[in-house]
Amino acid sequence: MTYIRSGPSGRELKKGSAELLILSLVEDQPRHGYDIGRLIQMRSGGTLKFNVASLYPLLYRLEKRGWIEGRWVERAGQRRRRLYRLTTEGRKVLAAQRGGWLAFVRAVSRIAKVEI
Amino acid sequence: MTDWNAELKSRLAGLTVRPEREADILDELAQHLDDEVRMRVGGGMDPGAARLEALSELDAPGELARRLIECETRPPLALPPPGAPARGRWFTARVSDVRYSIRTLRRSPAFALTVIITLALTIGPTTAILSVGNWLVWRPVPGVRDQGQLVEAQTGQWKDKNTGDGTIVSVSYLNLRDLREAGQTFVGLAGVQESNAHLAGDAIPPTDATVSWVTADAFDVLGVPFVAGRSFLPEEDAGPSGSPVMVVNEDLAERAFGSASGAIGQRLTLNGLPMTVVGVVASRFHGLTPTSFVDVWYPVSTYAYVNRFSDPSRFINRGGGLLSSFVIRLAPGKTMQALQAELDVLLPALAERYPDENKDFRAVSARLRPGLGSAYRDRSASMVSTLVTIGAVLLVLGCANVANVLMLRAVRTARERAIRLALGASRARLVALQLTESAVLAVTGALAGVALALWLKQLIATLLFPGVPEDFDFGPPLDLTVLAMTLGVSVACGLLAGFVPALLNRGVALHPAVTAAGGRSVTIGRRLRGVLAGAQLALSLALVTGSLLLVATMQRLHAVDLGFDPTGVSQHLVNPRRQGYPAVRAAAYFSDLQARLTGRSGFDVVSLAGLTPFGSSFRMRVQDSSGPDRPPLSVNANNVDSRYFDALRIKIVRGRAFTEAEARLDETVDYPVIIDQSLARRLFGDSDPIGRLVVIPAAGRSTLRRAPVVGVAADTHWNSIVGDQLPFIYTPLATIQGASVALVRSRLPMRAVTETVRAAAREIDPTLPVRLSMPVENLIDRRLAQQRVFFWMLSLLGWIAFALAAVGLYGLLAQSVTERTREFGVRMALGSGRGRIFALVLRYAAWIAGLGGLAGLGLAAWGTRLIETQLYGVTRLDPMIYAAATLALIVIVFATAIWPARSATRIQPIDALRTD
Repeated sequence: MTYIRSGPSGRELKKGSAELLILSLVEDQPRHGYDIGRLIQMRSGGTLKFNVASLYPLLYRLEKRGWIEGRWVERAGQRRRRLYRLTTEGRKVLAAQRGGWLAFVRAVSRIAKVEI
Repeated sequence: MTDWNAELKSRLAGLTVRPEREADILDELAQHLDDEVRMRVGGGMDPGAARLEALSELDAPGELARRLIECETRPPLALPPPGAPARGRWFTARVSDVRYSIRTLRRSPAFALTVIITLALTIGPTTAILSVGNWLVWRPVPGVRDQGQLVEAQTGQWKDKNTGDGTIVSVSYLNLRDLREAGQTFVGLAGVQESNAHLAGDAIPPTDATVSWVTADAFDVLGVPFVAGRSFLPEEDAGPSGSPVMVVNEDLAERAFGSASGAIGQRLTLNGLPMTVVGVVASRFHGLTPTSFVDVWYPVSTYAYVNRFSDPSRFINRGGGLLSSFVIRLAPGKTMQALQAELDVLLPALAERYPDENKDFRAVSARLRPGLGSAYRDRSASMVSTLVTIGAVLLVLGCANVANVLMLRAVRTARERAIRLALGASRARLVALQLTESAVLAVTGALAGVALALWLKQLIATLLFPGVPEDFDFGPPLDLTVLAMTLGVSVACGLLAGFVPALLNRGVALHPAVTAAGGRSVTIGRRLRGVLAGAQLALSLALVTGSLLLVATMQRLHAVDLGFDPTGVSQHLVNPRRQGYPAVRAAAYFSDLQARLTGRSGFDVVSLAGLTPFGSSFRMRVQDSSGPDRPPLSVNANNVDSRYFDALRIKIVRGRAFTEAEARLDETVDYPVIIDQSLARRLFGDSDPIGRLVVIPAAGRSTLRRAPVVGVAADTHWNSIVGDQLPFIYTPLATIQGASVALVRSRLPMRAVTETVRAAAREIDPTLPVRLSMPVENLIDRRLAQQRVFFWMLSLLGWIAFALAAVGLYGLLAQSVTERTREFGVRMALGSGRGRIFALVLRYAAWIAGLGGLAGLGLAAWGTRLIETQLYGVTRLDPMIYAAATLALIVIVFATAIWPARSATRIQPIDALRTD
């Protein structure tokens, strides 16, 4: 079982990018799952879309790692909602992932000669 | 709000989480669906269609359930994503290393089992042996403070202070007081002595207990903690009649009165006399050696009361004294040498100051031993050194074997590791993996070893103490220190053995390791392993030789004709005199007991006697009439009744046994005697001894009496299985001290016999305990305890060693066959027959076995000196034994070598050439 010393693999990057998106969205204010999904779709102009089957498991995973924290909010006459906010640890991870992402994107675009 | 529960639940099949968690998930997903529907309806869609569309998002088959199962039920310890903080990564990597090692080991079960069994066979016996040794001998005496400052002293006129050969001289209380006042090198000097007494109470059935009489300061000097009440007061030391007070152990207090504090002021009886409990000491303190079992202490001044002395002068007079064993606590900074020097001055000074009373003191000196229980430890010294040696040998053997097998494995996996290196794995990673594997094996082996140790410890304990009364609670705990040490050594050796191959690997050039089946390092490893395997065979041969010598010894010891037949005979001791019975009443008690037991079904013979064979001895001086100036003969004596010779099946070779009337004759009248053949020969030569007179001491021993011989009994072994026996004289039961033991020949199981005897004794006097009920065979076995322990330990060790050596040899041969596959292939291709290949492997085995065997025989010839004193009927160089051990070696070596040799003959030349 050798760990190959290299950057994040493709699969890890994709997973990493989804995490990066979610973490960024709950950075400034707590949001619920539907809100997060809708914002990702809206802000990417429809390019990125999470369906229920992948969004919620991912949220639970991030919560288990202690990066985000969910809290039930009840309002009279409505179903209760679960709001997610960024934890201190999540904030560190977000900063690190942003750095990593930027480096990655720059590297890829330099090689692929893509203008951003 | 739509109810989505049914829809959602059907899509979550297979997800098993707690109900609360499931409700949360359902709620959250339902909310999401609500939102979706609301948005679509807001955009003008028909609610029904909106519902369907929202649900369609969930309809990738099983997708939601699968992902939820994945993130809800898997532990969150997956590798952290890139960019996550590095903390925790090391541990995670180790966990996966362990998992990986377990998977790899599962693929080579033979290897894993070999190592685990080897470790278990090493750790188990070693831990058990050393635990018992430590429990018996090395551990400090429980409940005593600061034992480094304590010195044990014995007063006497010593011929040899080292061995304790000499006459013990007691110190009176007055002398003791003077010593204490004058002494500068010590802060406390307490007298502590032990003996037995009958102990009874309302909740305590009468038992024969070990009790201790002490000076009042004994508990202070020892530093024993009290849990209730007080220690003895100085005035309780003042004689002559003392105060009937006692200090008891917490265990006894709880048994007798329910609690320690509840015992204070209560009464127990000692030898039938009432005593008041004034203090309770912590349950861990039971006396002066690690295995003492004292429950009761009383002031030395009470000795005369407890033992019903009519003359108390031994306590109040300066010339008297009851104490010869002392515990001394050194003053801070003083040494034992300083104490010795001081006592060497003080003791003779007492003689000078009181020349009449202390005339014995001129030559008296104190024999000092550091710490507590030295004498006790000396007695166990040879046993213990054997145990330690055996433990150490086993540990070395086991470790050598583990190292051998692990190295073998390393060589086998050399190619795999070379490939890993070639693919870019760092050497550090490979070392880490190797070490992980070793650690996994070490831990598993250790666990198995502990289980084995628990079982063996009990076995060893039973071996060491045959015939311990059944109700005696005996069980040395598994010693955690010892366990930690053994674990440490074996795990360290496992890890080390993991390191060696990992280091060997450093020298492996990548190319040859990958292409050829090995490389130089393999040859080097093989030589080393050859030496290891040979050394193991040598060691195990030596051990097995030793154990076979002891097998022969045991056989010969059991074959010795003792002159009597102990099978089915048990002894039951009662001591009514101690409880204040006058001689006549004591005799009546025993007659009554005998009458009650005789004729019970299953009780064949019930005899009364003074002593039991292999119990204790009584010596008598018989005038040697064979010459006028011959010194008196020292003989063993026993006072017996008319059925004694029947009970023990001792043959009367001439004349007859005592009649019942004769057995009742006591010291006040003339009585006849029976002598054994060797005494008859010594006194009367070949002439008929019947009717001749034997001159023996009369009661009080100052005068002599003449006793006619009425019978000659066959010679018997009285006290030892081996060695010369003293001549023997039998006197009537009522002489000497009268009866003290009932000997029962019975076909019933021991427990039933004991119950019957106890019940009968209770009917006569419920306060008198029957003690030391046990088969006479057990008494004999006690004499064999040491040989038996040596025998079992050496046998166990020897065969374990052989098994380990066989495993090592097998591994070596199997590996060498693998390494030489190409060579064998070439040989076969060139026309070499399978028989020759077979022989080639066997020849290699024979070389190792031959050299190992020779070394082993040499080692045995040297090492059996250690057990020479334990041997009987066989010399330590007995050629038959050495031949048998060598034969065992040959059989084992060939049985082991045959398998690799056969696998060598199955090599197909074409495959062999292809292995590269």
